[in-house]
Amino acid sequence: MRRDTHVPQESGDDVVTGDAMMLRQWYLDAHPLPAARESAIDRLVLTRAMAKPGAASPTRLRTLWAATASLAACILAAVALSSRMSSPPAPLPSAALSYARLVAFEVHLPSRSVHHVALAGDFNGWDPHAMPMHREGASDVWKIAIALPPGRHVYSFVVDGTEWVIDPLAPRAERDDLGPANVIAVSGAGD
Amino acid sequence: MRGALPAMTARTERPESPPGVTKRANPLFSSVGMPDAELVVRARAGDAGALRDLVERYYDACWRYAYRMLGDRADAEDAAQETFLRALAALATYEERSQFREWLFTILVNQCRNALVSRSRRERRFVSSDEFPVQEHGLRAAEPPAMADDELAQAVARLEPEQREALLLRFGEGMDYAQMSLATGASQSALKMRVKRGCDRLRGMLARIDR
Repeated sequence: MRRDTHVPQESGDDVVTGDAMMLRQWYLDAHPLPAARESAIDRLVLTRAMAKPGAASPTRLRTLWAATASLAACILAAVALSSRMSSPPAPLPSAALSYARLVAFEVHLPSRSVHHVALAGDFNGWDPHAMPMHREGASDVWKIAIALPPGRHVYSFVVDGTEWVIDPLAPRAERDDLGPANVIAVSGAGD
Repeated sequence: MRGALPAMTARTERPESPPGVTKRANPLFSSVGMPDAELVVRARAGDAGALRDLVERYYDACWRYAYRMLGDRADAEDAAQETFLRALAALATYEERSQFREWLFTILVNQCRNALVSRSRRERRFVSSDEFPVQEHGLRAAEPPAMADDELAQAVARLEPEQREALLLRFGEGMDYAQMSLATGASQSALKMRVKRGCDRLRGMLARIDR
């Protein structure tokens, strides 16, 4: 085959499909290095999740890398944690799936006709609508992952906008001034 | 402020095995099949899992376009990351009626153009201005970058940036001209001309190599 037949022939909107496929295949043959890809995605999510609303426009990440070096420890901890989670023999409290300051919450609401679950706590002014949780497929598990600053946080789950429930397996707040609630302590990146 | 919490009326239980933890890339969240618009809504609400899945979903496509456009892995990584940082920072302005991919590529295309201009300025410090022709739009013809060592890659790298941009979006990303117009800001007729001329030039270069 002559090499010039590798080039797509454009005539208006018509493309010679075979040639276009060859150019597309060449295009798709490029892949980021897996390690660099994972690292880049981790940095993007952590950088964005920890950014304050209205934060200044981001700088180039190649230079930001030095500033975020401390986050590497968080990522390593996350990898270690996820490998442990791949075969978890025992149930974990809902707030235990934490990525340093990236914290995953989940709650299991079996045998219930639930349409909407939200996470509410002192970190969002106990707003029952601010942090809607995501249903895990067709299961009864509801999840959300959010970024939390280091410190102690009190939270609860809001079912269908009216019913406040807690996770009985997670640590419970000592003071129940406003009703039952769970508590989580988020450690700092350097802890 | 929260009202008084009623007594817990439903016992919450943990599943035997937490779902969503088997996916190595994102143990916190599973969004297979979830529309982009829903991921965006969740990411806006502060759901870091949705944010991660949104990035996971489009990172490779952005990196690939940037790499084929710029011809350098580090530059491609920079362009892809800068694109996502800008996109995520501007997520509140994203209109759900538009396609997230095209919106993202609008940012990506501009990042790659900026990278080419920056590269051109860097090279100008070291290279005589007569050595490379200057394009109509002010960009230099791309110096053949160190991309994959094959003739097609080198030929594509020698195209004018606007032609390369059009060919990559048309044939690499499979966009139609309306989508390309959104991503590039150019008219559809201009894009068709760029694609045609790019194809002609590419064919000519490869034919010379054959001889």
